[in-house]
Amino acid sequence: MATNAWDLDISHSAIHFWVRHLVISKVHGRFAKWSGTVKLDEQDLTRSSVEVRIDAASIDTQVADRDAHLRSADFLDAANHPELAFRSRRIEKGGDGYRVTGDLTIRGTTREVVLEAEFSGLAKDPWGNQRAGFSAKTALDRRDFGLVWNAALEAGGVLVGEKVEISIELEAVKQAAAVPAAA
Amino acid sequence: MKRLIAALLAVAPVLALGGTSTWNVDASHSTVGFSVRHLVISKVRGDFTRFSGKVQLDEADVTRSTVDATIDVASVDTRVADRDGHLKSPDFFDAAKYPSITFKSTKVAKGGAGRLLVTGDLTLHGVTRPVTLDVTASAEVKGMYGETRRGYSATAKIDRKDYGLTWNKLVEAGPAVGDEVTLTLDLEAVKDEPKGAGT
Repeated sequence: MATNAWDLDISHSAIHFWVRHLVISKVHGRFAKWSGTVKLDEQDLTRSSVEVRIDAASIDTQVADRDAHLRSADFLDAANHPELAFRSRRIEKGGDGYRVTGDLTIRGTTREVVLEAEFSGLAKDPWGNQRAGFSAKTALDRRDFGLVWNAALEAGGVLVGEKVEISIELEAVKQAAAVPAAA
Repeated sequence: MKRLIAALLAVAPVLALGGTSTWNVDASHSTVGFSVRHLVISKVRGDFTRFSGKVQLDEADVTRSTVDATIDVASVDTRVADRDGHLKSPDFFDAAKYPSITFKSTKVAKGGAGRLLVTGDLTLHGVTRPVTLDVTASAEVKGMYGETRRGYSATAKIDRKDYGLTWNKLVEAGPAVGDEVTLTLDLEAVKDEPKGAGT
């Protein structure tokens, strides 16, 4: 297997989402604290894998009261489920790029999700490190993960959208070649 | 006769408005976002967290509407403190010298498929240039307290060099920071209504 472990540069990566508010607008948010590793096979990206762990309490929609509500038992229940996690199981060529199938765990429930991903290329940073860029997106119904809180609207529809659109930007840095272990 | 005059006086304020309503942007349900390429291969996103905006909506002819917005440059947030500090410095926004970004509409035209093309003067880093936002407006809905709300979603692309934001570093693959900035606005606005419509 010609995969190498790459680190994710969090300061040039992001896990974003948005949901509809009152049907008519989008509220954006992201998770501020998370980490992950990518095992990349540069010759055949479909032989790669990715694993990410997200701190549930780091949810950030730029409004403190709303973030507190999202951490509460009404939504993520961060006190009892401090981590969200994603682990890829297979990557296939598809669409304009790749389809990444994996297990997503939110609030203790694990379900299979498929992300549409694109590889944006390789570049050397100003210090000579090799970097790779990816973007990925998917949509899920938060109710599938037990996040059911809502309020009905008089005219129909719900206050907070059930569909959550997720978009991810990743910049990975190749780890320096490891010194081979002594025989 | 008296009753007729009384009735006319009662509706006079509404008639005097000429069918224009004022809408204020609700910052807690709005995002003023941007993204640029890093090292060509990835996108870094950020937003401004302090801003205000007002829409004067002409209900009879939307092309006679106007938009006025102000963004606090020091509220730039790319979730990395060092980077935000660099962006506020004279290398980029120079927030101390140019504390606000403003947008004042000059023209509203109907685009295809129900969209609106809102052209206005964008003043950024002391430079004013016209920018056209591609806007999709929602229908009116009632909020949780009986207030009237609308959603607006808009995008535009600008070249930051046009505004004197030229800082860069060259690497093999290209510039470290892209020149093209994609602006994404998702706004929710609340109608100014006479007493009784809730806060």
